[in-house]
Amino acid sequence: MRRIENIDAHSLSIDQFAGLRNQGLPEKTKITTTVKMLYEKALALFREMATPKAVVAEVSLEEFMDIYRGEGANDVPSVVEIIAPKARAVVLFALTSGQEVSNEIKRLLDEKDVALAYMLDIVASEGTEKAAEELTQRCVELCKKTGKFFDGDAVLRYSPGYCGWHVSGQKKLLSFLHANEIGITLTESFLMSPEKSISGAMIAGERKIHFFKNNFAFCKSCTHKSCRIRIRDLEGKNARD
Amino acid sequence: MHAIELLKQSIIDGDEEKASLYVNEALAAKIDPQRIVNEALIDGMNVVGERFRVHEIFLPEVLLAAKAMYAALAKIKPLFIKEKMPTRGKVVIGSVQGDLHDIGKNLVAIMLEGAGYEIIDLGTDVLPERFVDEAVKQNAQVIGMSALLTTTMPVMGKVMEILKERGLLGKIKVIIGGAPVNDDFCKEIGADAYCYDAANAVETVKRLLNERV
Repeated sequence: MRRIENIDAHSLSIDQFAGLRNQGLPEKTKITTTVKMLYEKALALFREMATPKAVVAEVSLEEFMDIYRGEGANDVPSVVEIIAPKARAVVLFALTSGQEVSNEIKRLLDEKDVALAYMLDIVASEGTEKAAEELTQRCVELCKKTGKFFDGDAVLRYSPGYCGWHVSGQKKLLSFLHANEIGITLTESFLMSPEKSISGAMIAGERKIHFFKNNFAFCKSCTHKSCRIRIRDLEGKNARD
Repeated sequence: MHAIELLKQSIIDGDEEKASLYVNEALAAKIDPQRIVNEALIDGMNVVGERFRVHEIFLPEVLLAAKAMYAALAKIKPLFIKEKMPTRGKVVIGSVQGDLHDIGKNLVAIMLEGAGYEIIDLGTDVLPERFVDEAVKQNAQVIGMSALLTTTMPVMGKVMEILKERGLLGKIKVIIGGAPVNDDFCKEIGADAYCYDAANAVETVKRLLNERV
């Protein structure tokens, strides 16, 4: 069933400086007081302006595969088409932190307050990711209630533009979810607006269904490699169980 | 310490208030505005760029320095109204058609401006013809293109085709950047250089224009 979820920006535990580290700031690099102050200012702006909102809908495998095929531009084979058939549940989602944050970044840039604009951009990306994590957690809780999540299971998010799911897949996905109702639109080049938005599928199932080797054709040109970290985390959980 | 040195240091420290103070002192001391720009602002930003390149500082510090530089520059610019402010060269820059991301492109523009280049910023969603038309109209030496989406990268190739059709290949240098772009793609479309970050873009432009890096 399709529903809209609101997330309180103040409730998101945005790690101090995680955004900077994610941007490539080496672990040992000292963060100066000036940068700390700038980060705090950007964080306060994000909390004040962001209105994280999502639209979600659980779909059957057949429905999902039809949406996943999108405009027919996915790589073959791709990660999700292998994982999805093994899932206990697939929940589509589109989430945005709202237009106001993007407007503020643009305003700061226009006023040549480039340092704060850049920092707000980083914090907003990190905040949006945290909102998506909160949404994933809600998906776990829902799957537990409906008997689709057991000990040793995991819910991971997969998005168009990654792992062989072509970015044009957003068209069918957002259309199915009526994401325009929460203010998300798509440009002809498949760029979501507001910029701080994430869409995709939350796939619930046994942890091992999410494991894959990065030897797909598209892995060669991938610069993210975040799949390795996610899989390593899941393997760690398996080892601890 | 001389006003020029103090101003340069305030740029390096990213101290906007002091930059405003010392630029006023320098102007009150009748120091040639061109000298202030070259020896305090550009030299200061060069130090910042170098520190960034060797990972001594991180991007926010570079941007604070840029902010201080803009504060000082705002006071100097009116003095150049009659005779245009001299620059090291002109760069036409923009995010390609279909791409609305602009933070990376803006960072490159800021760093190049800090290094003394004049920037003609075409903004985002720029048609391929417009890059070439503006570069010709403005007599720019370099075109800089940014793309954050795999779906918009091909526009960079279209710009190269237009340059070729108009016999401008090699005459106007082309730099490209953005998350999905890499050296291989740069070679594939025949652009002059791929820049992996804003500091690298400055070095690359200097190199392409045969200046001291």
